[in-house]
Amino acid sequence: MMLTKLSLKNIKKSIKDYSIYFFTLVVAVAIFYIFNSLDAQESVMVMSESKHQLIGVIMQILGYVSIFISIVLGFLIIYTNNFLIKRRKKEFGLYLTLGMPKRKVSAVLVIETLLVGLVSLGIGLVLGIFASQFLSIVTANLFEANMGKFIFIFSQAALIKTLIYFGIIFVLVMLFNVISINKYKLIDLLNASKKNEKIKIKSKFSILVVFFLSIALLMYAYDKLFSGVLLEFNIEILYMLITGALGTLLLFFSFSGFFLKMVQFNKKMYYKNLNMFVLKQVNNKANTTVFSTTIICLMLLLTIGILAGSISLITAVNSSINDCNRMDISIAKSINNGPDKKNTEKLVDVSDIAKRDYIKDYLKEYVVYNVYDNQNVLQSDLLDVQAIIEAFGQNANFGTSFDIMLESDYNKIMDMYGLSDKKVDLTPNEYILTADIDAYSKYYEKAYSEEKKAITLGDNYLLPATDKLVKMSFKNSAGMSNGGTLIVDDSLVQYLNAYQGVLIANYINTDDKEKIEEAFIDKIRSESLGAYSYSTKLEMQEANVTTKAIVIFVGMYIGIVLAISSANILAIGQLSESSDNKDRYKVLRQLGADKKMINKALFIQIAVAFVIPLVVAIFHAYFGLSELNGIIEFFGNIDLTQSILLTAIAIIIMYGGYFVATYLCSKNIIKE
Amino acid sequence: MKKILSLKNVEKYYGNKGNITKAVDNISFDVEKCEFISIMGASGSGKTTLLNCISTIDKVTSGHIFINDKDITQIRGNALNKFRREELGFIFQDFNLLDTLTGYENIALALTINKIGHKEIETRVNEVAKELDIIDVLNKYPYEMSGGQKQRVASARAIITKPSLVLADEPTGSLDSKSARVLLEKFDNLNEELKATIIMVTHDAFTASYADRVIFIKDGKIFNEIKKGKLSRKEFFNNIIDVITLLGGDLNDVN
Repeated sequence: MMLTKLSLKNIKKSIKDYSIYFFTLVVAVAIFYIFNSLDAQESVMVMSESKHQLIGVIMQILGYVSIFISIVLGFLIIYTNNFLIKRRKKEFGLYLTLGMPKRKVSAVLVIETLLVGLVSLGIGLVLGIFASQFLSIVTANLFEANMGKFIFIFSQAALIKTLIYFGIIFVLVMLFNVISINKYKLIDLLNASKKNEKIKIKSKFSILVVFFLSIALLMYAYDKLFSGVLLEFNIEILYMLITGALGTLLLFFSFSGFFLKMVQFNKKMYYKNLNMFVLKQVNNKANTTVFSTTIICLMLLLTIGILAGSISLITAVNSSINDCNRMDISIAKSINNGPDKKNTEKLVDVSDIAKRDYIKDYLKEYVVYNVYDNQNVLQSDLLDVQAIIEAFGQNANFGTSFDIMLESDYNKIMDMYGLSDKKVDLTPNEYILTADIDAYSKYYEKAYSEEKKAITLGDNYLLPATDKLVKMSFKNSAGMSNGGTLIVDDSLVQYLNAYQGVLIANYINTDDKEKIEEAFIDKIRSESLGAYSYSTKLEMQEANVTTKAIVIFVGMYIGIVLAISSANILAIGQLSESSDNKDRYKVLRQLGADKKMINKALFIQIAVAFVIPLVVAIFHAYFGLSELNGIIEFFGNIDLTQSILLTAIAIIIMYGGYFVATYLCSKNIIKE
Repeated sequence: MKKILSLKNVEKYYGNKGNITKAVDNISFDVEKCEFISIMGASGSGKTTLLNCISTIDKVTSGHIFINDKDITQIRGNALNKFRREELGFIFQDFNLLDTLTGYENIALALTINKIGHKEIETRVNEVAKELDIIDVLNKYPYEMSGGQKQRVASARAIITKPSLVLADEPTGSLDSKSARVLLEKFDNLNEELKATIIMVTHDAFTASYADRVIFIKDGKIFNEIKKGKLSRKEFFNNIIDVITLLGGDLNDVN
């Protein structure tokens, strides 16, 4: 009973100083519950069977992500707990000198952990259950599901899962606590407060050496990055990551010293107000926190990467879905005019389908066209090969022949798209280049728009008919699929080889397009088409929703947890730093420094601790993402600035909140 | 002589009603410019509380304290900070130097807070350092200095702002006897040459004997007061010992 009382008193005492940690615990529990409660949300929503299956897939993915998240949170909680335990050495020493056996001191700690665990789990779960109601609105929106009337959602499975996962984490914390208590010697515990803190003074020379070494390492890593290792995806990525991380570590190690020396040259600046105090304070701390700062920086980098990457991916998928699927359905089949035509005589082509009577029952409008090629007209003729090799490395493949379409087919398609103004009238000596994959388009620009490069078809020299290449797609697909299609005059058909027939169509107007689609595809299946492929807008939209949901959920889940974890580590570090510095601030007050001066000094110190790793992380993230852009571009067009901006806002809200809270708590701690 | 400090019926109570401890119980005395005063008393006699009240670190329960005719019990907030940094200098038993700063920077800090330019800082720090014989430790960090050196750096920091009053709380408490003597001789110098007014709290008779006047405090009240006058330090020391004996043993109540 006495032990419980003692534990309760201890918690009460520390909850004031370390409320930020308790807050993090509660939020972590809540988030864990929310992202595992999708099953309950799903069950109350009215939606198609296929969507239920999609949510099943998403839940499975979130289940795996939860394992990763619980590992991150486990490390976070154990780290923070150990950190706080270390600060209480003197208190434990006192218990031991009063004759309390180590067993009982351990018991006090176990009870404390138990209480903290129970309370944070309780509050976190209540918070999570309420917040999951809001998430269900997001889910319903994403899946265009009908929620019907409002139903309070509660997931028993998520509740049990949260209890088990966090239960394990708290048991581990207890074990760590007991082990560390038994490891301590009484004399060390009692002397813990008499830290003989040696101020390590690094010589000017060594700081310079380390600083330039870190710059060199970072330059090496960036050089690797810009040479396109992310796209080549080989062992060099590892070299880049290791040198980058090491360079960042050494940068943190030497930068404050370097900066200090720089300011010291400017005596007016250095001997002004509390500048000298703040600089020395920051520099002194930088030595001991260099590892945690680096880890926080890398965690932030990951957070920014994941958040910005997710946002980019979503906008890319969103923007492309309509541009890539301009018609309800497209069916493509290789044309049976090859050498083995005899064996396939019984098969029908898409052009035959168009002649069927039933077509009218399903389709409002359709176009049938052929895709041709010519072995002498290669994509590499118009691509900026040099630039591609620079960006993608030697493995880039661009030796395929161009897809070619006839002017008349193109004009028919434009009519169907309702883009009559895009119709063209070409002479036999003109061609138009179309493409919709940005990753390709930009390498065509030089040859097509600037150099006006000609292509040869038989005896004809053809020159570009437009100033810019035309962004257009001719088939349905999940992402941008037109990597380069030429449009030429119909008279040149004699030089071309038709290899694929395509039927594109829009369904008749109806409320239930799904039903029409199902019936139409059944009809097509009954035809002897042989090998063919079809792609419909509805399917693509559904797949799009899944991609979006996975990206949103996984991105938010990991992003939020990483952001609050790193902010929490920083906050706890700064708070304990502030209580260590109490005496220093007391001296400042005795010297007559006023409140404003002291608060400013405190603010700068905390700001530096929060901002420096963030700035470095943003720097790395910006260049890393710009490179990654090359990959995401294949999915569609993205605006990197926009996603970085959105990420920045998200980070500023979460991270900034921790910063402000830390400053306010610290101000309280250093008060007289 | 001009009065620098004047205490009028100062009282400081701790605790709540029913259980009141009178740490300072109706104390009045005056200090003139350039005086070097010692306040003596046993642990718990209220001498440090008194010093804290004078130094504005603590607030009086009743009574008034005037420094340069200004009632410091009536000053609040930033005016108090301004007063502290312009009129007072502190020296503590455990030095209270900032371990992240060098000796020079520790001394300079008192001036940067007063927004004094770096050129003047340099001349003034060097001047004081010469006076206190700490030129060769200016570029060292506190952990590289001896206790005596640390205390002299702290003293330099206390007087560099040319305060009206230097308050020293057991300045020799953490020093060996040799360092203590060196420090006290420096105090004498500061007092005589730089005309610094010093109030020093101590329970050590030898330390107290360097002062011009010793005020004895017991249970929060002034018990006795003796002046050095024309006496030699040894005679004055013997007088102090006599009062201590009167106070009871080595400042302790022997039953």
